[in-house]
Amino acid sequence: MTDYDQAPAATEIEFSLLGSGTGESALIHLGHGDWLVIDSFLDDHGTPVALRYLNDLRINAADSVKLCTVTHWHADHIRGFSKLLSTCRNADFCCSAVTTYREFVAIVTALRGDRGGSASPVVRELQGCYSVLNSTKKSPVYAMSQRLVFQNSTSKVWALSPSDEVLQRSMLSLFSAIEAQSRTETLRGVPPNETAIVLWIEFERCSILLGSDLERRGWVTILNSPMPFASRASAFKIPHHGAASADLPDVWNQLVEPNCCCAITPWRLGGNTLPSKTDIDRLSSRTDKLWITSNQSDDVPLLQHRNTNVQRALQESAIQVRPGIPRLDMVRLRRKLNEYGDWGVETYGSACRATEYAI
Amino acid sequence: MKSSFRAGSTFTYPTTQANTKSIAPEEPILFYLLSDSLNHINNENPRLDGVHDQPQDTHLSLKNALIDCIERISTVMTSPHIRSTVASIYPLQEWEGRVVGIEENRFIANLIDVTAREDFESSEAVIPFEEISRYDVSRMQIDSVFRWVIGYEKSIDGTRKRVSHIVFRDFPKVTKADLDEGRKFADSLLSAIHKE
Repeated sequence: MTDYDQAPAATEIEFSLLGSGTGESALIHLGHGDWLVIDSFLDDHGTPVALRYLNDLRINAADSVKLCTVTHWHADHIRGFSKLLSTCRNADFCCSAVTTYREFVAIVTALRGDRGGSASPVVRELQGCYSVLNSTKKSPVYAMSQRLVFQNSTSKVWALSPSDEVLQRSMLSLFSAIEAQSRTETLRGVPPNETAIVLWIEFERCSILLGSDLERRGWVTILNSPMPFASRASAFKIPHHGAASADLPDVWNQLVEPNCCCAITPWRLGGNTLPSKTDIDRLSSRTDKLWITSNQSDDVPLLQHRNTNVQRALQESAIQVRPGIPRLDMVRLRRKLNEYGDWGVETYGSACRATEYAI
Repeated sequence: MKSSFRAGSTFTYPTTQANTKSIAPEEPILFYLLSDSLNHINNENPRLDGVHDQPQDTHLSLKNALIDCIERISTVMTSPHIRSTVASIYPLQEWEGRVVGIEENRFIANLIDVTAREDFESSEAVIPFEEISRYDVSRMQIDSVFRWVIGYEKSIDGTRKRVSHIVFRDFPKVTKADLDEGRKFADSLLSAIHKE
């Protein structure tokens, strides 16, 4: 067990998964001080959790992060991403090509908040990313099936999705999206999970599979495509918060090692939760090494407002307000670059083994 | 009913029972009526409906809507019943909410604390439908935006009471002009990042 704030050695791989039910973000130390950040959500101070974590490790994100990937534009994966991108000045921006289709950019730009309301967090973040791109003039790295999106002396990062077919379908659906824009400042038309980017990180002695929120249909396409590598993953970020809609037995049979080390982030909205008890049972039958980043169920206390009159009004109403979750809930996996063997697993905040997960 | 107000400021608004002809002639109300009429122009008589071309009766619709707007303002300015329904509110707490889930009898929303000048969603509310109007329930969808104000309402006769108001907001439709502007930005962005 290492101290929470001890950075990995240059010859150590780290895969950290953060998630507290309202968002998901992952960080990978690729070796020799190079970091990859995937997706973003905010802590209770409005800081992207990946930046907070790197800051805790006393790592300069501006220099060390080499690639920032937004896997898709659901709010629980994109909040704070523009701030992440503007801070990590040395990083390339990896995204789906859909994100910079002309019509997509036009819709996002048209949904600006100054027309009488504020844009949705998703639209705001996309606009923020465009603003960063506009100032840096750097071309994004487009993720698509079997494309190498980054490499350094110790690792290769491959995108396994989205497929050409999904990209083409997304382009067509943008036209109906234009028709569907109505009185809400939201983005409609292209289902984000369909275009989600799955990443494969290949080291000399191990690989990591990051499943984003890709659902079954996308996994079938990946499994039917020739793989640019021969290894199987020893660590797996389970897709879509463990939902059955994203689970395919052949992924376990073909892409990951038996009894692979797995991490999952929960998703909570009102009283709804993923993964369910059934999901945990199903996933536990596939691996003994299953961790979940957060174990804070519905016991998050109601907001205690600083103003007593407001507090009284809240108590008298039937409305329940709960504050955001401040803790950094995280599963951290580390191992040496040049050694075989198991991952060392550490949990922080309320992260736990799936068997201890209270639903 | 819609209202327009700034965070942390006292404002005046039409109550839900109010006939628009009996609203106080104060500036925010004029703004409300103007913006309501402009929304009416946008939403009911679209001059630029999405990607479609302008309808031939654009000018007539615009003219009628503006006449309606002027008539409503002049009615308010001259109403003899001004003081019977006027209300002002001193907000103690304001949130901007965004609907993220809709269930059978309630909805779930993420809240930005406007009073604390936050610019990110820091809390989640579960709100029974009985807390909002039937009209708002019927038109609610994911990503609908509302203001929630808890404060003191003062009626003209001096009565002061604590109130909690949730007011859903309408956004104007995206117009062809908005999209054309977006395309201009897209062209400029794409030429900048794909110049090699």
